[in-house]
Amino acid sequence: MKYSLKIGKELINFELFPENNGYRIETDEKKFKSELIKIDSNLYSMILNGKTYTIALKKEGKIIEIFYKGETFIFEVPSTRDKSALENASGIDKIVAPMPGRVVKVLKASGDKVNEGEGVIIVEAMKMESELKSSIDGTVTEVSAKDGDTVDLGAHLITVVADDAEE
Amino acid sequence: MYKKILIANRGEIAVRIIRACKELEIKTVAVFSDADRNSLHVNMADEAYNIGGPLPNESYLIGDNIIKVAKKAKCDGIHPGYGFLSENAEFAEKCIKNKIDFIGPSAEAIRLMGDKITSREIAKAAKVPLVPGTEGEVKDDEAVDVAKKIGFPLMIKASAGGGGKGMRLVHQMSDFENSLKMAKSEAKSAFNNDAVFIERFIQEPRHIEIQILGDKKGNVIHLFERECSIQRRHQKVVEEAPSPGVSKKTRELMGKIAVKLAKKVSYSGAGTVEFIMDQKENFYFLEMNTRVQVEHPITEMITGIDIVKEMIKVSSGQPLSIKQKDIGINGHAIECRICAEDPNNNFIPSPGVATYIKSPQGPGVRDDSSLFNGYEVTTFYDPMLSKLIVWGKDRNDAIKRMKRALEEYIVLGLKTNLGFLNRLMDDKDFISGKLDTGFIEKHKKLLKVPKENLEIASIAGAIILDSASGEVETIKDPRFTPWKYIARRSSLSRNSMF
Repeated sequence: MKYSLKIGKELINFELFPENNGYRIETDEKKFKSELIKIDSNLYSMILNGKTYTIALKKEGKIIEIFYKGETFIFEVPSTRDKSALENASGIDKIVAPMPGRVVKVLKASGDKVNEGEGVIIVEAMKMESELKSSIDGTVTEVSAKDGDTVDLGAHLITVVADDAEE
Repeated sequence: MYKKILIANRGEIAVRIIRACKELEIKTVAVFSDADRNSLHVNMADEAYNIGGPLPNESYLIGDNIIKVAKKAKCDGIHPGYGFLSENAEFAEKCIKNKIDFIGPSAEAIRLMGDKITSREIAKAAKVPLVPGTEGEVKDDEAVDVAKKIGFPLMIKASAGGGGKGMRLVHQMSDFENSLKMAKSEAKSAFNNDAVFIERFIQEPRHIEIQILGDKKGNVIHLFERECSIQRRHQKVVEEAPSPGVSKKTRELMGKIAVKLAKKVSYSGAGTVEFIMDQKENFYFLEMNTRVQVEHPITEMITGIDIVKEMIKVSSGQPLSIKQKDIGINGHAIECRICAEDPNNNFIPSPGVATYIKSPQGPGVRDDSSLFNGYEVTTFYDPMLSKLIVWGKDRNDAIKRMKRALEEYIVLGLKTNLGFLNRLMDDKDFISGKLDTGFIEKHKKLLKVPKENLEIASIAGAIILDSASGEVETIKDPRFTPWKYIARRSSLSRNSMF
């Protein structure tokens, strides 16, 4: 199974293969053999490539808090939107429909400047409107939807390219 | 001896004092604000009374209400701890007026030594070395001339100050007037008093302090020095005793001077004489703290003297239980202040709830803490969670033990300085012992979290994700036993690596 974790603006990808009592884990760069056992309410023992680690953790909804060696790391389980935004951390944000629905209003046109967090399009699904925001500062380079369009899950809507990005 | 003592404080120091009282078979009374009902000190004391709202000036700072509780509970002593009312001469006086002992020095001694300007005058009269500077508040019209005379770099400090507020370092004349203005306005808003004084700034200074103990019969002894040079935001974070930068000769001289100064004000109880020392062991009197100090445990570890018990005994009229010639230094002790703060963000306090705590154990380790599972760090009080203290046969031994103990410490739910302290214990400059108060500034790399730590944490996170419920397979059954582990391993042995 493939998993991703978000920490700050970074996305970490894993592929897990169950093996014996633990896992074989592959990241983009490395491979590990690991198993994790709970030893107290929030306390875990991990064996990673033969080395032992004591870890405390708490999972609440999409947030996983992990304490290791004096540091508390807060990971988030990324949504599909997060993933595409973070995978495009190189400077391109391809905004897609998060659910099947209808485009209420396209807020930006090709060539418009947008700031990080600024709304670019409003979509409606199940009678709820939501504004999709750009995850980067940049310029709108492509708009593939217009007001009133019906869109499928994952349909491309708008692309924002950071001003310093290489395309 | 006292029958019942009220502890006018909270957190770890309240716990520390309650422990001393229990060992002396004295009953204890805790006071608590609305925010502290579930605190450790409330639970540990024999009696506990609510004294008001969560803000210190609604509860822990209202001396009259605390005295009222002490009278109602029939206490014969009040221990103020550190901070809050501990250096408030008026409160000390009121306690005595109400026939309750204030466990600390006389109101007179607090008044004389607590004020930075009068304490300097007393020190000067006692021929204690002083940093070149103004002898009192500097007036606006004379400030420029005074600054020229003292020389640069110089420091502007608030007369009523503490904790780094109202302080400005000035490197050159052209910055002086502006810095003076800023220091005064900061002092005004922090202490409602804009009086400032000026003194020479010592390059690469070390903060060295001498612990003293006095009784009501005129005896004063010193318990050697502590080095408190590792600071952030002008506040101590790591302390050790003895100092790696103080020779035997300087130690004796500093001790003698501190005792002489304390005797000038007929000092009784525990106190600390603070010095600033350059890298050539020239030292100058800084100020005196007329109370028990946060970092007192390291002195206890190397001398074997229980400072808090000694304070209580001398306050009740007993003479000091030890003589100067009987005190020696045994080994080395280090204290780390574990704080809820973010080293990567200028050490700003980081409120939250400690959901899971595990503190270190084993030889030579002492954890003076007020933590428990569910402990909440609020913005009302200091973010210090615990003081981790270790003893070792020498400095190197103590550093290695501290590193080991820090690795055992688990605080889930809060951002803390544990990781930073851990890396500090590995730093070659720290290990070499060449310290000064700018150490952290000069070693910013210690603030950075190693990539490997993130990698290890993220792998644990990925495993937790491998199930919709967020629980890894091996932990579905809370009564997981080694026997089940073996059974599963053998059932999967076809794919096993063994």
